[in-house]
Amino acid sequence: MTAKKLITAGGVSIVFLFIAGCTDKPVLYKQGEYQGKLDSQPWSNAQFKGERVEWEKALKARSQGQDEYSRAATSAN
Amino acid sequence: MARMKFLCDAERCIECNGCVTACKSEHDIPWGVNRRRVVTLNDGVPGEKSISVACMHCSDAPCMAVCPVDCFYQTSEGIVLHDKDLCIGCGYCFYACPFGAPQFPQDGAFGLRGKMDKCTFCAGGPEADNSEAEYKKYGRNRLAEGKLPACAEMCSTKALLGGDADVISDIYRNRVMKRGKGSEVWGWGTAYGKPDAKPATPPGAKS
Repeated sequence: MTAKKLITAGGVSIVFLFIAGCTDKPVLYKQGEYQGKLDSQPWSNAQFKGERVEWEKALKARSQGQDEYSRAATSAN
Repeated sequence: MARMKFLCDAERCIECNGCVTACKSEHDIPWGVNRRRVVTLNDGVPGEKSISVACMHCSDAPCMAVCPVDCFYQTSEGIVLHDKDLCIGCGYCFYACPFGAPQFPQDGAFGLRGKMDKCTFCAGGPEADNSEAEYKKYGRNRLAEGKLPACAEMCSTKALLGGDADVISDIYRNRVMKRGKGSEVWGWGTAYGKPDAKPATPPGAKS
């Protein structure tokens, strides 16, 4: 009788073990939060060597280049 | 530095499509995908206006809000980018975007919708800067080279301005003062919010 109970208990536990194997893995997804790869800063490279100020200077110079009034004034001087 | 913005001066745009070509060429964009396009309002009517349209990198981007897999992120400069490895090509962002910016390449033999593609402000994506993977997925990262978006830099009449919001606003203000007209900036209210905008009905009032 005890052996039969043991076999039944063992069988039931094996069934539960198999069922547990079929369940989904816990999802780490968080609603509303970016889940992708992290991006690096545009100044964190060999050209700017992490110098944000240098990068901003380069960009500002380019931005000012879009103003033909200031370009004309510079070339006139 | 403030945030990055695009500004299109409708008084200057001559519909040359130089910006569209520059973008296509710079990022090797596939057939059927247009990150930038030129739209003409009242075409053929005297006084027609053309504007160059792409992702405006909105302050409160609706695409970010509706994405079911949260593949969007905003950089410290306010540029809205996305991770193509996460994108499922559902198209929600396309319906949410007021500018029609998200593009979907046809993928596979049955014309399935591929992963979303859009203007990156020439800032690449979440891959190593100027790497092969970044170029293939998102195009060239000009910002990491200290350059502005190709479309703005190639614009022959400088109708399309791109860069630091403070700088381009000053350029535009100076222009408007000199020519004495055309102070309306198309799309800025939609993309970056109207500072004086009040709700149609005050909170708590019956509508």
